[in-house]
Amino acid sequence: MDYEYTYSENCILKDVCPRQKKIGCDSSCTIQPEFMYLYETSNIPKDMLQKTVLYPAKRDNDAFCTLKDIQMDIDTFVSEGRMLYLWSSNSGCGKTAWACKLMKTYLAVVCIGNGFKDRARFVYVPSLLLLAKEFQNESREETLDMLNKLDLVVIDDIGAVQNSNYDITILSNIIDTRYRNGLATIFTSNLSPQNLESVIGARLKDRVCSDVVIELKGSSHRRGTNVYKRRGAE
Amino acid sequence: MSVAELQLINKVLTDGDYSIIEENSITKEHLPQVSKEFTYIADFYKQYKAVPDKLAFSEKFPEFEYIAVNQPTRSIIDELREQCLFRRAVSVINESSTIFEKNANKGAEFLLSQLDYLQPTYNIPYTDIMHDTKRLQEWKERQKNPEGSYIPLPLEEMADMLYGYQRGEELFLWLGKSGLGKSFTICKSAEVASAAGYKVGIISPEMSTSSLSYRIDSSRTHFSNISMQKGLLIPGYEKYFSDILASDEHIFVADSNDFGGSITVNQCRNFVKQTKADILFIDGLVYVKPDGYDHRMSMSDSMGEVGKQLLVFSSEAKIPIVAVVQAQRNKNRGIDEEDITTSENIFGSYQLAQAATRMVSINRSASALRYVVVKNRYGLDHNNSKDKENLGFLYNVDLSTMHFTYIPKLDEVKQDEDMSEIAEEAKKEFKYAF
Repeated sequence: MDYEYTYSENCILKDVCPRQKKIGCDSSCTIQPEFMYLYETSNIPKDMLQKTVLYPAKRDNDAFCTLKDIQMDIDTFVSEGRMLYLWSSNSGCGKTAWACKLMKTYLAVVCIGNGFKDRARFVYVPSLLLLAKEFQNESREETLDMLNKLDLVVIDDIGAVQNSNYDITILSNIIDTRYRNGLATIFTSNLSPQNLESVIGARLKDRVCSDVVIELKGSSHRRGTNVYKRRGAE
Repeated sequence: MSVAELQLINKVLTDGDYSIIEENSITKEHLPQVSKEFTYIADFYKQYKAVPDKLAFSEKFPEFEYIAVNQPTRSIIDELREQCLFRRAVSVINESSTIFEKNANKGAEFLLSQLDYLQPTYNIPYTDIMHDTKRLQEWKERQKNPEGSYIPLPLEEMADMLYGYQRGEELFLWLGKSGLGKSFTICKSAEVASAAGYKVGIISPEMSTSSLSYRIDSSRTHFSNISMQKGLLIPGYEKYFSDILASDEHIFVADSNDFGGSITVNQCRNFVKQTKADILFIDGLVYVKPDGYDHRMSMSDSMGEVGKQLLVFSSEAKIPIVAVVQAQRNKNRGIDEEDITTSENIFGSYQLAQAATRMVSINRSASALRYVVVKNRYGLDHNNSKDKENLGFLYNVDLSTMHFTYIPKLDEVKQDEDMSEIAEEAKKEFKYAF
């Protein structure tokens, strides 16, 4: 994937970067381009680049602690090929944000000396299934191939749409290949494990929920309002 | 009397060395006009394993004319062989024509039977490496002055694998698709070589002298060459000029206008002689035509010939010749997407790849450039690399300011104490970044 990199003084890693503390932040930094390459090629939604502070509902304290544990141990989580099924029957309670947080952390941890190799990919299941049917689309084959190989994949909103047999085949192929090859995968969904079974089948559900399963019980953080203000304005 | 015959006998007598006769299989047939003198020397050698001295020889042949021989031995031998072949041919043709007059079939049979006898004998120069100490001297020279044999490369990380541009017998090619920074690499190379104290010659068939010079200025100062082209304010640029005007550095540039449109290998040769350059850069080998170029020549043959002629010139002049060549686009192999990792990707000519001593391909890898050593006659290249995943040298490049920042591989990060420390800390700290 081609992208243009330009050095930014507002580096996302600046606050915690040991190079910045020892040498300073300048355009000769090789950490920023390596991280930005991984970020750009990971397909993480653009609004997820910045640091996001997530406040747990009281009922989610334990779940947040477990997710934090995974974040602090993300390199081992990935190297051991672990699977995380993060679900909530409510929308907007931070599942995707957490999945992106974990992925970004992994990218930051492995970026030094990575040599511009792709390591992780975020896929939104409805988009993935649409792409899988676009046989003329040149990125179709590349995307499906990468999902079977990359160290870490986030499969966002599994079970969000009714799946045809073809859809199940596509998902099975990815999930099964990753499971067999010990590659780490994070799933997010609005379906409980039981309900997931009815959408993707028992065999696939068994693999998806074979390792860490976390439920978020809080309500949506998204709030609509009847007032219009420019973003960032007081 | 044939001068070559006289020269040979004189050389043998003066040097007291019979090996010139033995090693070149010289017989009486080659020396018809001094055959008696030759027979005497040959018999003497056969009996005493030595050449008679001039006194003894003069006693036997008081009329013999002594001359000083300054001509190379090889040219004397070539001359004798050519004369011998002429005499043979005259004899065969005369005899065959007599037979032809009587019976054409017999004449043809005779002529064909004599063809082997009329084979030209070329002198193939060779070296008996078991008794030749030239390389020992070279090695000693390199020990004394390791940097003297090489001119530094533009990117120092490559030095471990390539050492530098070798001074002599070096046709170094930078290979890449258009717009990837081949010319920038050449400009950086020229600037680095000049800074190291070498006189640099650049032939620039595509770019004007001033455009190329801006890039060289940019490589030295890291001022934006785009700003130079646009005439924007650049504090310090004038100061830089006064510094280089006072320096001993020389970078001689000739663009296509200076060559009047077409460039030949001979013109390159003259350019180097005129400028006394220690290294020659050619920013676009496709524009150079070989000596003896014929319009019927294919592009492949022409470029192959240019490569061979430049390599010979490099050996003669003891300077490296560094050139830029275009990589071919091969849709079937997806070359536009993949790195160039073999020497088969030169646009127009595989023969040129054969002539090249070293080739480095330039590839885009995300926002960085990946330099892959695809051929190295004097050492390892990346095709021999065990680590195919981490092929080549990776640089984050800002072409405007000519900053080339090396991006280390994970192994290198681990080996470097400072970097390793930063990497270890980063691994811990970055977990708190999001």
